[in-house]
Amino acid sequence: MLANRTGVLRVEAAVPSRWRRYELHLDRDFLTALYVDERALNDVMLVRDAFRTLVDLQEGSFAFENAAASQLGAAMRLPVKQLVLSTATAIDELAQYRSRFPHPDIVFQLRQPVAEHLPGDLELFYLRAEAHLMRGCSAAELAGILYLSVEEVQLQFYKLRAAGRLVPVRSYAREAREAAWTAPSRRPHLLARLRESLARLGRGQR
Amino acid sequence: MKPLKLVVAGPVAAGKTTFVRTLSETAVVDTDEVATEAIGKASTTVAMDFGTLDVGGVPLQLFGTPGQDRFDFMWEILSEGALGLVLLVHGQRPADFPRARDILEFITSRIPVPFVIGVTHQDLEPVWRPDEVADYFGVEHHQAVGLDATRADSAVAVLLRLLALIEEQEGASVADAPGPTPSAGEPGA
Repeated sequence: MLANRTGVLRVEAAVPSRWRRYELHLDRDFLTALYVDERALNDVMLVRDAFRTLVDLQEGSFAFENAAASQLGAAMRLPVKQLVLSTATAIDELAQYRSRFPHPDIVFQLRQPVAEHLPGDLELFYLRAEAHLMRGCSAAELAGILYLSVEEVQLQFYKLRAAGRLVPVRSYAREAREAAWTAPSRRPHLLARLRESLARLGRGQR
Repeated sequence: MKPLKLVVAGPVAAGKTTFVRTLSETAVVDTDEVATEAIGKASTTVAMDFGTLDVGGVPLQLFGTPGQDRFDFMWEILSEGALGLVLLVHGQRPADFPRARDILEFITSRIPVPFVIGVTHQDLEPVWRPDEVADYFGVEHHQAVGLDATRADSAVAVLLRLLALIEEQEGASVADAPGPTPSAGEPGA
C-alpha cells in the first residue's frame, strides 16, 4: 500500500508488557530511518527485529504523513521489500526453534571470547552482546539492554549454545569460588554430621 | 538449630512428591489438585510438597516444587537459601529432559545452590542410566544418581551424594583460596 510513497509512517501498538511507538521514514521503497519510542535503530539486526514485532502486532493504530525526502532521516537506506522478506524468514526460524528456546531468565555465560567469524545475524548479535555475556546475563536482561525482543535473544542464545559457545552459569560454583577468596568460610563439621546421620538412616537406623 | 532446606524439583511425574513422602518423618503437606490438562496423571502439585526429616539433631525441611511451567516463580522462591537441590527426572521419559534441564538451569544459574540429578525408575527397561542423563545435562557423571523414589535407602543415597558434592565443592573452593581457612563458628562444630 505504501509502495512508491515518501513520508513517515507512525505506528502505535501494545507489545507484550508495554505500549510502543514506531516511526518509519520511507523514501519510496527504501527505509531511511526507524525510531522506536524515539530511539533511532541504527543496525540491520535491530531493524529486522522491530519489523518482526510490527508484523506480529495484533492491534494498534497507524498514520502515514507525506513528506519530502529531504525531511526524512537518513541513517540508512534499506530496501523495504527485502526487509519484509527477511522478516518472514526470521519468523519461520523463530517458529522452528521456539520450542527449544531456553527459559528467558536462565543466566548464560560465554565459555571464552569467540575469535572466528560467526554466520549472518549471529555475528551482529555477538558483537553487541559479548561484554554482557562474558559476565553472564539472561535473555530477558540482554533484550532490555540491546533493545531486542526477548525471542530474538533466545534464538541467538540457542544458536550460540548449540555451537558450544554459551553455557549456563552455575551460580553456586561461582559464588563458592568467590567466597573462598574473599571471606573463607566452611562447614565441614555440619556436613560430616549430616552425612554420618544420613548414612545411618540409609541403613534403617533412625 | 535452624532448619536446613532441601529443594526437590523436576518436570511433572518425575517422582518429586513420592521422594518427599518417602523421606519425610512427618505427614507431608501437599497441594495436589486434579490435573486440568493431559499431563499423564490424574493429579499434580500446584504449590509445593512439604515434609521434614531429623538428621542427627539437624532438622531438614523438604520442599517439592510444582513441575508445570506456569509455576516457575515457585522454583526461585523455594530455592532461596537452600542447602541443596535434587532435580528428579523420569528415566523412561526422555521427552521431559529438555524441560528438566530448563528447570535446573533456571534455578542454578540464578540461585547459588548445589545440586544432584536423581534419575528415577532405574528398575525398568529400557531406561536412561545416570551417566547418560549426566551427559545430556552437561554435568559430571558423579552429579547424577539412579534411584527408586519409593525406597528410603535409595532416596537417602541421593542425599548422601548431594552432601558429598557440597563437601567436594566447598573443599575445592577453600583449597583454591589464599591464606588460612578458618572453620570455627559453624553449628555442630
